[in-house]
Amino acid sequence: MMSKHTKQKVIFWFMRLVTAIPLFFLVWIIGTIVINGVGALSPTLIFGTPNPVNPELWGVGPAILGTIYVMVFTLMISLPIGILAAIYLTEYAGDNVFTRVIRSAINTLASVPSIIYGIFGFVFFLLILRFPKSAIVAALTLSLMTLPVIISASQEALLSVPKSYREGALALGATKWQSVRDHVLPNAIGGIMTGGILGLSRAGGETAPVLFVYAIALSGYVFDPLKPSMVLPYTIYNLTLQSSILEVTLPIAYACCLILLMIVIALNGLAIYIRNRARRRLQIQRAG
Amino acid sequence: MKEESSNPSEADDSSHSEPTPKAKKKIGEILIEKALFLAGVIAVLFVILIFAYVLYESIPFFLQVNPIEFFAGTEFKPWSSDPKYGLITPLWSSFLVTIIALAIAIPVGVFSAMYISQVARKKEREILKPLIEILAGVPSVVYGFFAFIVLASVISVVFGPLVVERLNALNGAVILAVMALPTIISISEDALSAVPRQYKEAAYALGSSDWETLRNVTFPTAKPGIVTAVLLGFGRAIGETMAVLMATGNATHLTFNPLDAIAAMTALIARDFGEVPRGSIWYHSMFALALVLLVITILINWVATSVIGKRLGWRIRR
Repeated sequence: MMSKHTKQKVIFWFMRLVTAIPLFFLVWIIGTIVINGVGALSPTLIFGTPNPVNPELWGVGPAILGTIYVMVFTLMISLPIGILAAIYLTEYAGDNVFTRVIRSAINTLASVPSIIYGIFGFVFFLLILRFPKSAIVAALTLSLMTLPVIISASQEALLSVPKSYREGALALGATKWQSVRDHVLPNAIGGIMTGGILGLSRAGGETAPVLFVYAIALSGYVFDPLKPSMVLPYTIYNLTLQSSILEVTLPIAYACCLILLMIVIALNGLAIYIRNRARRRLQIQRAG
Repeated sequence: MKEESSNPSEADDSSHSEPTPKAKKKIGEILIEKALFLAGVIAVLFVILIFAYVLYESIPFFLQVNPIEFFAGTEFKPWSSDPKYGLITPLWSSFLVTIIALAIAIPVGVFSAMYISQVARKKEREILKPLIEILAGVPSVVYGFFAFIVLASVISVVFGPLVVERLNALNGAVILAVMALPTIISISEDALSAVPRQYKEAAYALGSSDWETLRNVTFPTAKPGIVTAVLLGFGRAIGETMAVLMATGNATHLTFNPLDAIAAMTALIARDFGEVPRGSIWYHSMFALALVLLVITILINWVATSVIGKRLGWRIRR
């Protein structure tokens, strides 16, 4: 019979091993893509355009531009709406039927599968509203997906600002909006930015929602936000599952994965950094 | 939410002295409140629109195809000359990958969450949590690519002659498990960390070890939160599109063998929606599939966040 202490040690070591599983996959996936992708990276690949005649000179520049376009436009749409909605929900709205409906609607938006956003975007923006297949429509569709991320992160940030800040401002004669604008928002901005960046990175990596409203297989550089273009995720899909010459397209697909991963991980890292800094600042203020 | 009480007194003040500038400010305040309110309404509006359009576009399908044929049919072959629109094959395929994925992700996720929130030291935790977040940030197409190129080969080697198709349900399930892990870990971890310290201290005071406290006090208290985490993980897995599309081989036949190719509902929509002739029954059948998927995910989300939440007093933040 094992002693209580030994048993605990064994169990905790077992848990430590289990925790290593997700990390193992993280290292395995990122490692594979970095090792195989770095070799294929070249100025031609990054800045060039697709070259059906000579795959050696293939470039995915338009796909990178398309992805950046989508991310920027998505943020421009969803960040202001998301912040406003979060301020409304945390600072203004009472706990009544209506706000409960809003809250559960946001929750529902977060649970809708990405492919449904894809077909909804197609039907609503392209068929009903007759918008062209374009970066703008992709951004509108993706905004619906990123909104819940931004709203919940912003709400959390707003709630973490101590109540006394608001009361102090109100006591000195500030209106409600003044207290929110000058005292709550500046202290919550770190958390809000984190939400925005996480939403941004999600928008850049999503494939299914842009499949039918923006992405095309081959294009040159498209600077017009009202025209369809290549995007990185769809390019990866095309160069693997849809490819008949996998041995030629695979290195390019690896490089695309690497570029996409670098964008997403850089954004996530930035988000984590900003959040930690904001949290520390708030702690210091509270202590001081 | 909290400052409701301070509003009336403020309104009283402005009506007494200096009516003009304060009244102006008041209009500004009202405008801002309206704008903020409108932003909240947009979310509600789009939930309704999404539901309405998916429903609307699937009505022509149900007018032409007998609902019994759809819900009870086992063959899904809209492209053949004798088209069949049976829901059971795609639905079962989705469930097969999701169930296997959860069978892997639940134990791994819950144990990891226990370790991160209760056992790991602060330094360890500060490294582990961001890494899990990065796992959550990896785009689904990258997971799909990895499963398509690397994982499928590994599974082929491990299961050798048992493997029917190189791209199979198990391949999709493993990659879905990895994708569902961050959701399960972070929400379970929140639930475990939210257990009041007094509960644990009481257990320690009675002579419990760390493990006994975790098993008998912390885990049971956090259980509703962990169930929520699992349900949200399920929702994430069944709605996942690109990874499943790339990993599972896309064969629309009914199979119970995890080492055979399958085609989940999401994958069928993603693969064919762009190509099907608009207005055809096939086109509308995609919306019927989407409707089923939407109902499943919304139900799960609703159970996860409201029913369990209300009954046991949990507040879920994501």
